[in-house]
Amino acid sequence: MNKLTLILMLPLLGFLINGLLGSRLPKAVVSAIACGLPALCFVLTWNLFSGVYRTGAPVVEELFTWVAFPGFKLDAALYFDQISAMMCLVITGVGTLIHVYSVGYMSHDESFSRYFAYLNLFLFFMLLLVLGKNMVLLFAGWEGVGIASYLLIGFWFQDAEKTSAGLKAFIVNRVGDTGFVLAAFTIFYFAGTLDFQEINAFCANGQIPVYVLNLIGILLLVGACGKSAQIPLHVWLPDAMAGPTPVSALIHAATMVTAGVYLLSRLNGVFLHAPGAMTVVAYGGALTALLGATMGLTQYNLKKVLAYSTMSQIGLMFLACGVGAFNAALFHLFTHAFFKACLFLGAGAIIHALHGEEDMRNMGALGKKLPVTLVTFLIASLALSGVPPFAGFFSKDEILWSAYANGSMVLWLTASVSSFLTAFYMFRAIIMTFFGESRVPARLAKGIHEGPLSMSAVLVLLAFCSVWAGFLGLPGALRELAGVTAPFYDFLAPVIGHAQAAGAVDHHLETVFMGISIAVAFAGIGLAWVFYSLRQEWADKVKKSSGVAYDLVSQGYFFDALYYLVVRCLDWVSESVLARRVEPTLGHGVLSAPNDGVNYASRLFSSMQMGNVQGYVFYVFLGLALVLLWGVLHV
Amino acid sequence: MPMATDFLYGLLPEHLLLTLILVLMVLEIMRADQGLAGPLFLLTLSLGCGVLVTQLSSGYTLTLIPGEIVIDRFAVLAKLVILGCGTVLGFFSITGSKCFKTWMLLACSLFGGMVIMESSGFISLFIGIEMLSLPGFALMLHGRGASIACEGAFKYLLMSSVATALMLFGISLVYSHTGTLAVADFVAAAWSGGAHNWAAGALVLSGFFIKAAVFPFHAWAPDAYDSAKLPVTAFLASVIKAAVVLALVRIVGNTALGSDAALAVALLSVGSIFYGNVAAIQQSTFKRLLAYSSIAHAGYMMFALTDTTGGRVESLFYYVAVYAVTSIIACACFSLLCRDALHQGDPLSCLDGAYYTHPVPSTILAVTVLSLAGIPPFPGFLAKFLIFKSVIASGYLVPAVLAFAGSFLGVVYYLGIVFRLFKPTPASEIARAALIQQQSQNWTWGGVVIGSLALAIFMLFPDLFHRLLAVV
Amino acid sequence: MFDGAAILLLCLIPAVISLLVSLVPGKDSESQRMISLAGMLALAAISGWLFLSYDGSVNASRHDLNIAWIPYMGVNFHLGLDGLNVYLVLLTGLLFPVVLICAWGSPRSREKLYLNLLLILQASLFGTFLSQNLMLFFAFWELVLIPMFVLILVYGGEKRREAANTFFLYTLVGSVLLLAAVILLGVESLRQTGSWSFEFSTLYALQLDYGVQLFVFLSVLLACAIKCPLFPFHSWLPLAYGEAPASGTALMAGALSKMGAFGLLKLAIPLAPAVSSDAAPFVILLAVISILYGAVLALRQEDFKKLIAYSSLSHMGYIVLGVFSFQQAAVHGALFQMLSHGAAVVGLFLVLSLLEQRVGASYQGLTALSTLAPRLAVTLMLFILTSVALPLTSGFTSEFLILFGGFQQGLVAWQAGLSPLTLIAVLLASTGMVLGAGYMLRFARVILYGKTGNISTLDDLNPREALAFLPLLLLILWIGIYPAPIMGKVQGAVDQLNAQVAPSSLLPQPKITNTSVNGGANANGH
Repeated sequence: MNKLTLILMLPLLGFLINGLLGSRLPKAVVSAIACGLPALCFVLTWNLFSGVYRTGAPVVEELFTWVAFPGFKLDAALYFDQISAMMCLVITGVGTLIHVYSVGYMSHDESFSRYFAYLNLFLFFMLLLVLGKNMVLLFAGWEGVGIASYLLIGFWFQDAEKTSAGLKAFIVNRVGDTGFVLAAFTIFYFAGTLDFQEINAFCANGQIPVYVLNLIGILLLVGACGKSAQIPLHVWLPDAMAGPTPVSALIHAATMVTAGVYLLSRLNGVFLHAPGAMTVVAYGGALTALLGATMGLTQYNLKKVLAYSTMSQIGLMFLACGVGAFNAALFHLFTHAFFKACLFLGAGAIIHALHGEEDMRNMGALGKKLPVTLVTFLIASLALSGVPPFAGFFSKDEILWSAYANGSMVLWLTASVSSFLTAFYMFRAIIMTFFGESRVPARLAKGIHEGPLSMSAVLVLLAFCSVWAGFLGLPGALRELAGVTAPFYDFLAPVIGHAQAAGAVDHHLETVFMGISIAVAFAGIGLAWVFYSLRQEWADKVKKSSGVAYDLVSQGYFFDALYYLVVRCLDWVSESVLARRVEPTLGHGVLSAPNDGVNYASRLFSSMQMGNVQGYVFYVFLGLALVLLWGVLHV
Repeated sequence: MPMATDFLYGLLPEHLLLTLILVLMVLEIMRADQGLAGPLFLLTLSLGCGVLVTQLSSGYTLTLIPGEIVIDRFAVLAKLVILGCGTVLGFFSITGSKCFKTWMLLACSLFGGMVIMESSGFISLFIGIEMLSLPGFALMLHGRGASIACEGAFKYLLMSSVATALMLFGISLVYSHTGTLAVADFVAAAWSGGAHNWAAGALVLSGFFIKAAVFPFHAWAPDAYDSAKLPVTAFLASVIKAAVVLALVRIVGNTALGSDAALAVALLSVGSIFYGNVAAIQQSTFKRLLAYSSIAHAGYMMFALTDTTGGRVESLFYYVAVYAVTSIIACACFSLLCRDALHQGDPLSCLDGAYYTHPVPSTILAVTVLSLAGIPPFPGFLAKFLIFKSVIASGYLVPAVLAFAGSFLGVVYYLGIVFRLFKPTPASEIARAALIQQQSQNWTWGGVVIGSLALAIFMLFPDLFHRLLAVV
Repeated sequence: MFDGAAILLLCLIPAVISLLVSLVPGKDSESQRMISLAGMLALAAISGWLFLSYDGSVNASRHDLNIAWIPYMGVNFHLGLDGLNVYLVLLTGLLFPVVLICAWGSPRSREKLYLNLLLILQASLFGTFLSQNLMLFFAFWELVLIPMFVLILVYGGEKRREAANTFFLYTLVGSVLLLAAVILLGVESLRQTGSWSFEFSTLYALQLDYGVQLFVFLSVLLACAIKCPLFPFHSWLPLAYGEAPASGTALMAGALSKMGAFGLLKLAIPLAPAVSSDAAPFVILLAVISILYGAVLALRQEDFKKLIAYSSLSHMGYIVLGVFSFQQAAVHGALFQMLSHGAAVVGLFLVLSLLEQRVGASYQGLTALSTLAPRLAVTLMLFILTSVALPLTSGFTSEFLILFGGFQQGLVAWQAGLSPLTLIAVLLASTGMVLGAGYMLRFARVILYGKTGNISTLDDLNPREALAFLPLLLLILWIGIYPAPIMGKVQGAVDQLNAQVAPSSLLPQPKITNTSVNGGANANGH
């Protein structure tokens, strides 16, 4: 009884059923299939997880040989170890919840079944990604989630803007994927295998020169950047918000975008021996965290604020990976999945209530009308801002601490600043959305109400999770204080070990830093309250005073403009150079020119046929003379 | 010492032709029904073919007049080719010409051709060549008052007399110091080096080049072909060309030329191929097209002279047979497709959209044309292949590549014909064309069918002549 | 004997059927196309059976038919199934019925000429791929041109005369040198074995000196580069693909273009191994240039047909890249790419042809297909994703293997201190992944999405057409998901190919230091 295969196949089954005959089935059946199968997956995953939790031994399932020829054999094999277990739990768990939420959210959409077919397809590929035993299988899932997100972002394909957003997402991801593929090739050349465990083992025995490992690390990082929206390949994420909000919650917050973190920790064996690459990862992550946070400051679109915060949170995870604290990264991934999903779904509830309005300038004072949403959103935001005892605090603090302990002051500083900004823009969003006086336009004002039960229930559940999840991984200091263990870290230990640095045992210092980060969080919240509730004119003043800087930030540091320029250049080359210059020249060179030449010669020759016999006889004797001359010369 | 019976049996085909000629004369005097002539002609020729086939199968060989008339396998086979072409041509020309003289002249020309094939001395060879050519002029003039016809015929006459003169000169040069008129001695002497012999060889060859219309000795061909009636043009392109080339083969056989001579010939052939093919591209009338393509094909055939591997005779046999039959079929199909156009000059434009009115002849025409262009797997390609394999085997790779390039140019105008065949035309045109086709042309059809069968056989058994010549 | 008969049938059935079709009275009657469809289905069945029953043996193939044609010249009518052509036979058998069924809606599918041309084309394609005698190969190679020429000429678009002319003459240019090379090889065999022979088996055994090899290689390369086509020999492609009737274009892109790649595999490498391995980097460079050139050009193509034409140029580049990497994976990938690209591009062109049948020439401005005809849109999307090389489709399997092998080989060459040209080329080629996604998804966006334009109604895919597309999609998925068993069939041929190159090749095969369970198991397992 191979459960892993079943876990993989169930969503695919859902996709096939809903995709092929969904349009003929009633909505109830469609949603039952769409939600039931992932739920089943979750149950199975839980079952397997408990097995792994007890024995600590990974589950492996060899399906078949994908490709084989002398010197090369690639198995389609599934591998369920601690990391995969954690990821699968998140994917199937949060995934199921979001499916349930979507039933309510999408109830009015005419292509209901198509939506759920895509969603199940995404689950299939995402599970393939985390379950694949070797890089090729992972890549299959990797590209698969890419296409699923392409389809879901452009779900409302009537709208040119949305489809172009999907296109952009896929292309940018492809850039990353190229890096990933090249990394795989290089790894195989040196390690002779593509199997994760073997790669990690091989890198450990130090047969590969360090510069190669660094190169591989960088290439992998490029791949991860593409998928996880890290600078400079982050540009697709904000546009990706064009998709339905549950999709943003599932794909662009909880699961797919964290695939990069999964990749890094999956191949931690490579990175631990590639110091150079590690540094790049750490500082890249820090940079993304900071820039993402700043970009979040100026957004008025609720979903975009969340998108930028996702980006900066994943930046933190990368930072953690960069300093070798893979477990911290994964823990943040874990908690982030809950509260960020909760935030997005909350936003979804608001947008649902406002019939698709996403601009925060047209919101405000919604707290009274949407109490459940308000509470859950608040909890999630507190978690995100890193306020104890919410989940985000513990995970983020672990990252900050290891950033200092295993990394450098600079990293810690950047991370702290970004978390300060996070707290600020989150509460800016909350205040603009839920409090103050209502700026809701009249046409949307009437009949604002909570979504159906399925939606609010999911919100509550996720909010609940974002409260308790943190206690699975208490920081070392608190662990000692309370004399408890951190089940999360212990669970992952066999795979990535406790990446504790030398200074980590110094719990006194750790507590101090904890205090600092709490203070930072509250400072951010307070500032936001001052700016957007007490002294609203200050905000505008600041905006005025910082003219250029403001544009720079609000335009996302002109990354988009840069890429637009590149694309324009390609188009120009294609159109003006190749199509208008090279092609015609080639065509003329090989087609028309010889043609004309031959025709000219033909006219010339036939004009030799002038028609009087003397000429003909002359030719004859000329020819004869030449032949004789030839003879005289040669004989 | 051969018996009278040998004279009777060995020369039976010739005797048959002579009787045919006499009978036709008598019938003419008796003002008999003109319609008889054609069938009679065909009957005799088929009889002759039958005789030749039996001789061939029985391996009949005989030296009738030592040094002059020798009937060997070559002779029998060559006569068979000539008569075969004559037969197919006969079918084709019946609808065209309903008068005894035409058939008499044809018969005379064929007779000359057969005499060439069995001659081993220059006297009979010379007589044969003259007998082959002279009726040609008459044929071109006959039944056409147009001054253009006279002009063409006259040019042809003049040029071929020049050729004759050159040939005589060459022969006598050799005779002057060998003292024999036997072909074998001539060949032995001519390639034995020395300016004297070179001149002799050059003169004789250029004589043949004129008759075979090789560049730059070709100039008579376009005018002559253009001025004659289509069947006569076909006759010039098929029987006469075949006979001339085979005569040349009769002389040189498989003996290798000197390298200089071979190179010179190769150059002439390449020139001929390029000239013919390129000039043909601009032609707008069918007969002129045929003329230029025949110039190009003369080039291919002459290429075989450079061969040193001993494959010359069989490859030339194959080429000549295929080329002759193909061009006859092409002419026949053309006349089937546009009878009406034959009288107002034969513009290619009358082929436009012919496929939609007469798919079968158009398809056959397309195939023959592609075969002439040398597109595989049609016999035309195999013929070229057989020639060029020996050329390349003899080490003339570069000239061969040049020749291929030239033949590529040839494809251009042959494709032009296929173009026209499939050109879409308004329905009214099609209806009109369909009306014209009412008058019956069964004889021509017969010719086409027989010819196509022959081609099919050539295509399936490209080693036919190799086998037939190999048996001793 | 029966197996030989199976091969014979492949060439005989089309001939017989086309005879029947021509004999059936009446200008256009249903019976003609029924007959020809039946024949094509039979051929598909036979080729499928050959494919499945093929056991991967290289030389002593059970399916072999040898009839003397010109015995004393060593030219035989010798057809045989081997590892190299087994894929292509399947492809040829598969494509034609699909094409015919998709043309069902248009009146021309009833015309005798059209059906005959298709049948002749199929027969000559089978002949080209199956022939084991160089002369026969050449004959069929040329014969293929004629039906395609007439197809374009009669059923083509506005500029069909020009297109047909260009197609025929341009592709014939390559053959001028090729014929010389063919005969030269025969002469070589005459010199070395004392008798003429054009049998591949004999020619492979010859010891050719470098000059001859060079001549042979260059002439074959020219011929194949034009057929494929490769930059800069592609000038005929946009015109011919754009003007030809949809079915003609599909067949040109799907089957005819494969002749070029097949020629390289069958002629260039085995006959001129030394030169091939020396010239490989430059050929690869050429291939990569055409990959990028085609891709970049496709980015801004308004005309759908031309867009796919250029994409096909780009994909053929991958095949050549794989072939000349001389590396197991790459060659496997190239062989797969032949199948994959064949299926995908035919699918794309046929979908376009269905649109053309439905809305006429204005299909160029079509938008929002997903709204108008969802099933059609899904089919189109699947083919697009295949050409984007999405995992689990054949496109991924082939392109991954090609780039993988090329990269390994490039690194080996570089490490061995040889030219880094190959490596650079492969790196450039891998950017084709991005460009490919770019133009293909742009195409998808234009035609599939957006608001409905001037065309407001469109018949969706009907069951007949759906049935026609099914085999293509199945093939795509099979290669994408479970290619291992298929690879087994050609393993012998690939090994042979490598063996032919290896002795004269300066490049060592990449080292597989495989400590792993997987690698270790198969390193001695295979």
